[in-house]
Amino acid sequence: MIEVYINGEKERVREGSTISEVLTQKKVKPEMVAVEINGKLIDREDYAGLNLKEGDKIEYLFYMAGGSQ
Amino acid sequence: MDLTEEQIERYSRNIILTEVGGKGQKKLAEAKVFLIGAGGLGSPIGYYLAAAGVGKLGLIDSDHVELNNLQRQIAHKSEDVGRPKVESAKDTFEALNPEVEIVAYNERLSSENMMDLIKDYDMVVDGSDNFPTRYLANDASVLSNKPLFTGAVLRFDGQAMTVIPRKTPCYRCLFEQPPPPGFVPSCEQAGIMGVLPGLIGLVQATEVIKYILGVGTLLTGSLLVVNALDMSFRKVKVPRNEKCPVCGENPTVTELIDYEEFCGVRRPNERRSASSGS
Repeated sequence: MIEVYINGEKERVREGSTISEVLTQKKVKPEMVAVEINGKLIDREDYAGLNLKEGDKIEYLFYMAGGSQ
Repeated sequence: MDLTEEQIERYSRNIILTEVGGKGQKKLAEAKVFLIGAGGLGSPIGYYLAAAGVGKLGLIDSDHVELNNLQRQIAHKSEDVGRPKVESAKDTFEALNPEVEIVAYNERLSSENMMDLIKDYDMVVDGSDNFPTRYLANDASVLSNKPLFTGAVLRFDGQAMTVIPRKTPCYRCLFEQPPPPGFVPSCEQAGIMGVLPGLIGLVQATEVIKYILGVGTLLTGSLLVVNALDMSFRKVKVPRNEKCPVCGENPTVTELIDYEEFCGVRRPNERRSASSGS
């Protein structure tokens, strides 16, 4: 297990976890968010390929429009 | 032009602040702000900008006041149900401060009218309630080099960011691709705690005022993320995206596009409807 920060909170995740796995665990669909790791924007196509490392700071930011669609 | 005695009295609490003074109050009086939306976000934004003494406030919204708006859209009253929102909001803001020139545009914002509408204004505030308008507001701001103050809310969450075109990240630097239709619920579907647009709208209005006065640190390159349930306010650093289609190194968006098509709200080749509601 490794220690990472997800949306500012310290969490332990399986070593080698990917963004996709973290999002699935949080019940968040990739299309609902923009993701940054350590202040860098991650392309959605890389969510399944990038492995998280100890100390990584992950932010997943929800798309929000409001109102009515 | 000097402030009148009445203005000095009205704005005394502003003027006393060293960051404002008479000079700052005059800057506010010269500012021309274009506000998209006279609803949840637009209500507190317009209200407080009018209170602050902004010179000119353009308000655009094609909706009419509905009963379910009144849980949060404080620019309107019960007796306004059925009225165009921009007219109701204009009355409310004018009653608070008759000095502000308020121009109400009872029409739907689109690529066709956007650039023409904002040419008389210095900055754009996004209080809209749908993705096509958000991308439209962003692109128009960047293309016309006018600062954008964006904010959004859902359930108990809110976000806000300030964009200085080509200097700081724009909305698309972070939210490059709109979500496919149906992936992100609207407030109508998921609900919105009434105070949230108040919280976030005030953040946006504060940013506008700070920008006009030239004081403080703006939410540029920084997305404010708010959760009202745990009352957390976090600033998430947002980098400029060199691949941004609007403000990146090789921009592909050099003029306004069809945003409804871009957001998948309407399929290509489908006839554009003349609907005024959102």
